[in-house]
Amino acid sequence: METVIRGIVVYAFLLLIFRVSGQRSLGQVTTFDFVLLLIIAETTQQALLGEDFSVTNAFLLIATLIALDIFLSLLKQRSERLDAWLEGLPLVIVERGKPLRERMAKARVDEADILSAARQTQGLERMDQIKYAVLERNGAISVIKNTDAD
Amino acid sequence: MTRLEVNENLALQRRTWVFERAGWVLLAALIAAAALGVFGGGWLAHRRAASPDGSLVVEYERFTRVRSPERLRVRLADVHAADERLRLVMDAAYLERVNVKSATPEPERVELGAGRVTYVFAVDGSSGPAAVTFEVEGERAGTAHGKIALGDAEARFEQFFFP
Repeated sequence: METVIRGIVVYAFLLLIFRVSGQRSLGQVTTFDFVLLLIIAETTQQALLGEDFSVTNAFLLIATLIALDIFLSLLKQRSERLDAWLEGLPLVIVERGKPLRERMAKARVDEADILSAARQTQGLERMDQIKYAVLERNGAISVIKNTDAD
Repeated sequence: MTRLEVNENLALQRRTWVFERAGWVLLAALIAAAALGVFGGGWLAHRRAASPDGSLVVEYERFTRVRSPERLRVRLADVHAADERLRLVMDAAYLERVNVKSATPEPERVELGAGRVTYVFAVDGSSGPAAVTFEVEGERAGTAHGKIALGDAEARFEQFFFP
């Protein structure tokens, strides 16, 4: 019983903490993000396993975490609202070459990030070549090319 | 017409979906069982074994896991004021299966005997119920049979250790 409760509590906490950290956190993983993730994983392990190092405990824990994931995915499919709360929503940050400053500031995305995504995904050079840029739910920036410009 | 080069196999896909759903049901059942204590730590696992006269009760985990600390509580209905020492006798066969990490309160001394180990506690001279808690850890997977006695009162119990 304790194993299942531990699993649920840690899962809920991680869900909350990553939601609070914002949608960019896992989108473009920097070296430091990666190190941070490793540290979090290491710290979490202690809380999850406690003093019980049996194989049974490990299996039950994995089963609990995976089951929660499946359960939530089913719920998210049923409820759009819950999906929005848990996974976030896409956000338009550039419209017809014009960066939407307020949205960008709130989402902690700057022009350099958008241009970087534009270069990497579309090979674009300037902001005015971007028709739309959207900050996706997974934190990635998707760019749609402006076919009118040059 | 250009064909998409993808090795789709809808028949196999459907079978894997069925497999997935069956897995979900099994997973849910496994977790429900775990929550109830089938694998230790729930209300299905907590048991009490009493001596025939009821003066000695052992609270133990029927199902538990190896290398995981757990408690074995021995409740004594009555400690007599006249007794100076309280002698809890534990079966040596049980101690081969589990590791006694500690006893609370700490025994005054531990005596080794033939096929048994005796934990001797000093008594303060009051009368009434008392309890001793052992912290034990299973060493091997499988069933262990325990026997704890105080004088003539003897409680037997059985524990299953998951790997």
